[in-house]
Amino acid sequence: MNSRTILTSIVYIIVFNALQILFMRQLDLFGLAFCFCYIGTVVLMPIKINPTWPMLAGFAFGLVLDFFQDTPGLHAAAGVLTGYLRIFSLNFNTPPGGYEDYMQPTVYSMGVPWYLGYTLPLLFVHHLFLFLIEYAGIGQFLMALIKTLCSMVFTIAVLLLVQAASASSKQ
Amino acid sequence: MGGLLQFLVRIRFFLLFIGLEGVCIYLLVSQNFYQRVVTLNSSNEVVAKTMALSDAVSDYFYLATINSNLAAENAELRKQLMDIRLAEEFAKYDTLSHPLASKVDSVIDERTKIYDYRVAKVVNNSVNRLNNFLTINKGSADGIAPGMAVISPEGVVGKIRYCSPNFSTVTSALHQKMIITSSIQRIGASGAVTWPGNNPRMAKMQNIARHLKPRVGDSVVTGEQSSVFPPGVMIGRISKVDIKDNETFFDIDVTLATDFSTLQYVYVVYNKMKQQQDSLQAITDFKMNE
Repeated sequence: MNSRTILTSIVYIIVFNALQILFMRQLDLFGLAFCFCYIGTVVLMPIKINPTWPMLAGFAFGLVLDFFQDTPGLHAAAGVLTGYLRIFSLNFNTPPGGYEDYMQPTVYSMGVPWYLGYTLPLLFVHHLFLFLIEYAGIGQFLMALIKTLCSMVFTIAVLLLVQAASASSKQ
Repeated sequence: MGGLLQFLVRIRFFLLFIGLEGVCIYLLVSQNFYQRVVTLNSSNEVVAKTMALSDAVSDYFYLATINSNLAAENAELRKQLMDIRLAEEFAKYDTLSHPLASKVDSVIDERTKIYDYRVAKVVNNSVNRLNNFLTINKGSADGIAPGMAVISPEGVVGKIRYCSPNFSTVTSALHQKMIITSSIQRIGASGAVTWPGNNPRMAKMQNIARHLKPRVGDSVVTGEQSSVFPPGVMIGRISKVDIKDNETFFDIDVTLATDFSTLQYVYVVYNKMKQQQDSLQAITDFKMNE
């Protein structure tokens, strides 16, 4: 992990949280798809970072969004869960030769199959957990599931767009 | 003992996870904590200023809608003014209807005496969650306090929840705990309007007994008994009336008059007599219980 990876992480943190708070907070498509791109800060942290950091990041940035939305603890709880599960998703998706130092959990560094295999389960757990807490139980499980799947498409599209933008700015 | 410590060190990652989730669940469940930490919500200055910034951008997209809304409201006010003027004119020449003239006067008097209106701009708004809140750009420095009513030119909006010096949070009518005392204007039947939590244009009206005859299209307005909302403020129109054979109360759908998704300006209504009314009612309840 060199200074450049850390810098990229900081840029991601600023971009994703600004996007979330300034634009995505008020946006929904057809009342079903929401964008929770702040979770990109957790998902896109360097691979070899101490697994405690993603968890703390999920808590902190979730809580910041909660202040804006008057939902204390809602996004923080989902963020912590995602941060906790990140290391398991990374281990499960370890490429044959193990992780190298230059690798980053981006679609450009790791390729599309690895990226989807690593990101989609995390987004699924995050969104589903979020909607289940919001509905306060599993009474409306089907609705929560539909919203989860629609929102996953929206969120991952935004994550990919931001990565594409950062890749083109590096060239 | 050493073994236990080693075990704890080994699972410290999991323990931190449980600890953080515990904090979150505590925040989620404990309303008391939330109310004590008033600064940790959207009426906090830093948070609200950021939202005001993002709102400034979206303002431009709504200019046309706001214009037409203001024009419509102007027209409505002009009409009301005209009515009052006409009544005054008639009263002047008609010697028999002096009581009417004094009545007009007293109506105007009473309204201005009891209710105070302040315009505020909506800087943050949501309609797509189960419990929705708004943030407006007036706070305790402008004389706003928790519990005041918030209405828009179209109809009811909600109730002030928290205030910071320059911003306030409003519990929207689109909140599952919000119950508005209301009445069906045509038949004068009173009930309660609540929001079931799915469609931001639809609310439910409850406690309308089966002997009453509500019809589709009837206006639902705020009730006379409410100490928060001024009476007669539009809530919406009945869009569906249904009753099952074994039920006592109607199942009524109300289409809300206020379009919360495009809400830009609201009026905060201050009932100057609220304290008197509430304390009197509290005393009465107390005496009744004795």
